[in-house]
Order: sequence, then structure tokens, then C-alpha cells
Amino acid sequence: MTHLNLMVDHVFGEPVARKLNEWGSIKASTIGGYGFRQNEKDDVLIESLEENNCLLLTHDHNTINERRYQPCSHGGIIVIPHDKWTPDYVFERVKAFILSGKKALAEHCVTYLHPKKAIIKTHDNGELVVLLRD
Amino acid sequence: MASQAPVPCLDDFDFDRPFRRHHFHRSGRRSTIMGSPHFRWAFEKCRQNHPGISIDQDVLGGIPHVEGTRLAVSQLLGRIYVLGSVDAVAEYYYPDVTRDQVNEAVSFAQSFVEFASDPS
Repeated sequence: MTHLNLMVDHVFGEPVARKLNEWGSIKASTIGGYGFRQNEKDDVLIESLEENNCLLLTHDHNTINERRYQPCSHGGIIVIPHDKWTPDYVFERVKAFILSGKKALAEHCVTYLHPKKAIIKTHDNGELVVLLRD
Repeated sequence: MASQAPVPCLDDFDFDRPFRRHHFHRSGRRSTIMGSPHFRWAFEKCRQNHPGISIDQDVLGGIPHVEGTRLAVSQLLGRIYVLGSVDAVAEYYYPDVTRDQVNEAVSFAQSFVEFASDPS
């Protein structure tokens, strides 16, 4: 049973998508896997999320964030802002978030996955903090 | 007693211009730091020598990235730090990015920092 569909941004690439798919509870594919160009526009990716029933997994917290893409205006964005990420690190953060039981809250919102917590930016500048276990 | 040179004070520096952190487009949308005239000028100077680096407001919000990809120059620098070498980064993103493109991103970053920090 698939629990979460993720569109993996180019910066994470195929190695991260492969690592996420190994777990079995995540169906992850790169933007190329969804039929987009490697240099696809931000707006095109964001607008396609709802249609593809998936969330965008990205590292680009400077430009793909709740200020530029308001919650409830898209399918959902998960941001892992850690600069020294590895495929294992990304997998552990996503896994911890799913195991927290709060993954449904990420839909249509912008979620930041940090080492110990997830911060979910909701509409009207709301913010939910979910503590994550390692 | 010898007079000492005045110590530069942060209060004397005008942070609003030209080192403005955010910039507003004519459309009203807030852009990245690259929208700042000073950084835009530095980018244009660097771009002449690095045609493989692109800037497009629609891709990654307008931050410099490798042409034909969604890989920001800054992100590639971070990958080199983590993976340890240019070759390792090229291997990670194979076949989307070549070794030459990673090298050009590094060269662009070097040029950009030099231009952007040039007081003249």
C-alpha cells in the first residue's frame, strides 16, 4: 500500500528517489519521471502537484516556500533545508515524518523537515510543530 | 599619543542600498537577492565568461543555476562539500550534469564573489 507520493526535485535526484522507494511506503519519482524537463519552471511543477496527487520534495527553501507558494494553493511541498544532506538523511527525515502519523497535514501545506521536528506552514500564516523521533 | 584610525561602524553602513536583501518586481512579487541591482550587475559581469550558468526568474526563483537543469550553483557547492570532489558530484547527477558543468559552477561562484565584493 502506498502511503505517500513524492515528486523529487532535481537537486535530490535519482539516488534519493531510489532510496525512498526501497522502503515501500513511499512512491517517489524524479521530476523527469513525471514527464517534466530537468529545467522545468517552478510554477509548472507546483501547479501539477494536485493533478499528480503528489507532494514536491525539495531542498530549495529560499525560493520554494510558503511566502512564494501560499498553503492551500497547491498539492503540498516538503522542504528539507539541511545543507549537508545525503540520500540516507533525506530518507530518515521523511520516514520519521510518516511514522509520526501527521503526514496527512502536509497536503496543501509547506512542511519543513528538521532533525527533531517538522514545521508545517498552514494557511493564514498558521504553523504546526510536530516532534519527530529518530 | 598617536591618533588611531576610526573603527568602521556598522551603523555607518547603509544596508538598504545597494545590498538590499529582497527586491520587489514591477509585478509586486518579491524576488530573490539576485534582483538587487548590485548583485545583478555582478552576475551579468560573470555571465559573460560563464555561458553555462543561467538565470531565469521562473526557475528556482531566479538564482544562478546550471543551464538546462534545476541545480543551483550554491547547491552544487554544497554537494562538493558533502561528497568531497567534483567527480563525485558529476557521478551523483550523471547523466544530467557533466564534470565540466560542475567545474564551471565553481568558477562562476568564485568570479561572482570577487565581483560582488569589489568596492569599486
